[in-house]
Amino acid sequence: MNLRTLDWLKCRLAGWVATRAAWAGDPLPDRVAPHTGQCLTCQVRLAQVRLLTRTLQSIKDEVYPAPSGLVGDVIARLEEPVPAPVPVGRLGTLSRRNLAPALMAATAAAAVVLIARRRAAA
Amino acid sequence: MSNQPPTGGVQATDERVLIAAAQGGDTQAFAELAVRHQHEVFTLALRLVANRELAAEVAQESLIKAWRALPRFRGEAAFATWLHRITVNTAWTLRHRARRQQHEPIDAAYELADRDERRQPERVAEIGELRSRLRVALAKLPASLRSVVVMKDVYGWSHAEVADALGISVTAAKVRLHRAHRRLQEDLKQEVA
Repeated sequence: MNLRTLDWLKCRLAGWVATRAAWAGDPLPDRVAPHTGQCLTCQVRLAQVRLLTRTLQSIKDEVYPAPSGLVGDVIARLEEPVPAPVPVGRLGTLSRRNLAPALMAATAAAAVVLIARRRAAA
Repeated sequence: MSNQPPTGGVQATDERVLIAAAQGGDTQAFAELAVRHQHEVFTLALRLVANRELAAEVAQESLIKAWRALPRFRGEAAFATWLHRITVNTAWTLRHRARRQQHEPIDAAYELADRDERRQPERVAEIGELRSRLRVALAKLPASLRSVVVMKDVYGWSHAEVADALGISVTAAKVRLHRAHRRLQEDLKQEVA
């Protein structure tokens, strides 16, 4: 590995650590500060991330008006009874009922395959 | 959520009175609370699902869930914070409907970015190209990545709060956030260059 490749790797690693810190809003870690202080590529990357984080934070202030009638619809639905949950026992019976034909079909299919293989072998 | 603005003074007291009345079954008091918070609930829902129709559905469901859960609200967090958590939860539950409705993802994204500007043309200049492009880029992200960015970067929730709201581990939340950041950076490379 030559020195140029090593520098490139160092830059990539420092850039990665620095941008992670920038995304999290943390201060620049000491171990990458000397490199980013003198590397224009890293500084550009950091500036981009900081711009993005600031813009994302500024989006919070925007409020989209709710559709008219939203609260009216909600209030109308408040009187509705809460749908009762399906009892667990019933769910179990239902699944067992569905499971039985499936198991029978699978067993029959397996038997057909086994018989076919034995015949082919014979 | 760590960055909710504190509701102070008369309004907070007033809100506490409304909450107490609503907890006692007063639908009028709840209607007043819903009127006050409907826009922020809808805005959060819209950011999470990137589709106006679905966001309206999410907002409606969230307010109904809030009404049903109100007896359990102890006031440990601000009412708005509590409502936000319910909204995130509802949006996450209804995300499969978003998949069905996202057969035109680009249109949905531009709808999100442009409608507000069409409504308020004088704001176009203020908002700026990057903000507009960022909203489009956010809308293009898959729901699982978008929700993490919205909660963490826009609303300032902690990793633990995001993980808790989505029912995933903190590590998974961090991984999703990292992926989302990479995609956003990639998508907005030209705008931020």
